[in-house]
Amino acid sequence: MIEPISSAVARATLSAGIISLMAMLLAGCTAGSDRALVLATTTSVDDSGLLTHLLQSYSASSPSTKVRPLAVGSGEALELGRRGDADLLLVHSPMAEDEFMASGHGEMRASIMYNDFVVVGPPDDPADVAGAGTPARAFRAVAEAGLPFLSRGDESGTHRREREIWSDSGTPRAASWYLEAGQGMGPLLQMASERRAYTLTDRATFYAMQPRLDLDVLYEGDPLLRNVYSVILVRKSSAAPAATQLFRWLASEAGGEAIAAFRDGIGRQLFYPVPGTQAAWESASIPEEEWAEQGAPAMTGRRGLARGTDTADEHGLSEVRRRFLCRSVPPRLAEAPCD
Amino acid sequence: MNPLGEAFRLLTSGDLLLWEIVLRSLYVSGTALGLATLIGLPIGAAVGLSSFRLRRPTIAIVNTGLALPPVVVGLAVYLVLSRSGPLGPLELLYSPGAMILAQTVIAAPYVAAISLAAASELPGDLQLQARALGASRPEAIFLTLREARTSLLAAVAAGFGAIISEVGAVMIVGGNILGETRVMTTAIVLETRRGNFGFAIALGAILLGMALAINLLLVSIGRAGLRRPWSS
Repeated sequence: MIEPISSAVARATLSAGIISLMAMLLAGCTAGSDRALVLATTTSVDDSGLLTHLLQSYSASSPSTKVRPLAVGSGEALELGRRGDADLLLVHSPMAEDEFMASGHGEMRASIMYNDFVVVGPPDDPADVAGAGTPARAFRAVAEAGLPFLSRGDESGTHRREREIWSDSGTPRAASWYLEAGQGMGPLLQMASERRAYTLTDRATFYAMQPRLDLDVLYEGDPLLRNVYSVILVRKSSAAPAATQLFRWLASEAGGEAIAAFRDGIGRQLFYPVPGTQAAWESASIPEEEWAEQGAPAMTGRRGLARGTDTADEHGLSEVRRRFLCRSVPPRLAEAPCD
Repeated sequence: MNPLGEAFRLLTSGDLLLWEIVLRSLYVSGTALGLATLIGLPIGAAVGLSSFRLRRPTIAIVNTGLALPPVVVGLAVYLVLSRSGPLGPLELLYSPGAMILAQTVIAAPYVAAISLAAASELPGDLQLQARALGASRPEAIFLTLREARTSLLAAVAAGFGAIISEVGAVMIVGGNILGETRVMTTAIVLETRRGNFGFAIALGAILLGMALAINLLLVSIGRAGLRRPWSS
């Protein structure tokens, strides 16, 4: 069949128009000299609303900076930093951060705030984790009862902490009740609520979603459950000046005040700034020993934790972890094994 | 090891985790396709072969089904299967059953719309002729549809293509649980996020291979279709 000439011409003109429009759009994306700085954060910081609050406070002091926030798990955020696809990371996975800094991907790191993890589950608590005493025993109670436990399974900070607690508990995990869902914290809590499963969550995300969930906080308050957030300036950053500026602001008094001022919908404080952070950030170019001498309050050394030398104390905590947990935040949440 | 090399190693070494995910994808999408064919084919054939007053609006509705975004189907199935939803007591959410249900809803309009088009294209007097030669009414319908068998197979293949590569609905209603509801597409999302590119590329290659196989099938069906006696 022969196509009418007019429609063939119209079609050719249309497709040429579409192609050139796409080309112009793509050119517009790459030609912009002030590339927006990419801030990769954990999902908890975004789901709770803190990220929006912080960026609003920051843009009040520095209106020209364009920040493009990406809410992903800590594992993915560090991976983005490793590839240079993000300029600044806001993460909570101390061990993975140590590895990241040790392999030279980070320029600077500072612990800026903390809150805690909680064990949540069905309100009637069939495994009786509420009276467990330690997080490891709480997990063991779930395992022994054979009740479903949902794991993030995505290398996020929460997932890593969860695995540390499991290995502390010395309990083997069986596929019949240990469910590994590769999902963010929000969807995972939704799943736990639907399946009446236990899970480990950060308090901020849990509070943000609680009204829609059939879950309660069943175990909380142990120092092993402390959750420290750090900001990392990526070495490969292609927006280094803007990223450095935001890094310094987040670790400054002003940043700390913005963190402390944040409240959720019903007026609860979800994140606590780490005091004195502004003096404590760690640079990959400064030797660890110097920091030790200066008594840097924030973190462990840039070389990371030497795993081989770890020994567990009577609380089931390795010495290095105990020191990290007790020093990284004010001992407000940490009565037990801290001096 | 670079991701491509890792992907090649996974594909050639018979990695259990990888093939378990591939098999689950085939199981979920294959079952959904079977159900979608049972629903879509009769609807498409019935509307295509008959003439009734609301035929045109019916065709419009079936074709709109093609435009159903999978995530919206996922959302609807989630709400129905959720503990507070009407089918909550079945406890199907986050199980392969939920994924099959969602994919059936996505694939059925494909099967229905394409078989409807195929049935409409058949010459109207074919059934009449069969009846005149002594076939009963069901026999006549069967004989008529047999003439469109290549197009009907294309309808089924198109339905499969639509669901095997779908990620939105299975993520929402399946939950991407390792060993239970993790399929190729949701695994690719997760492994890319984890920076585990080798695994993601290996699954992507298998998915592409399946798409290629389906399209080769469609092309050969199309060629066979050209030899239909009346399309001269």
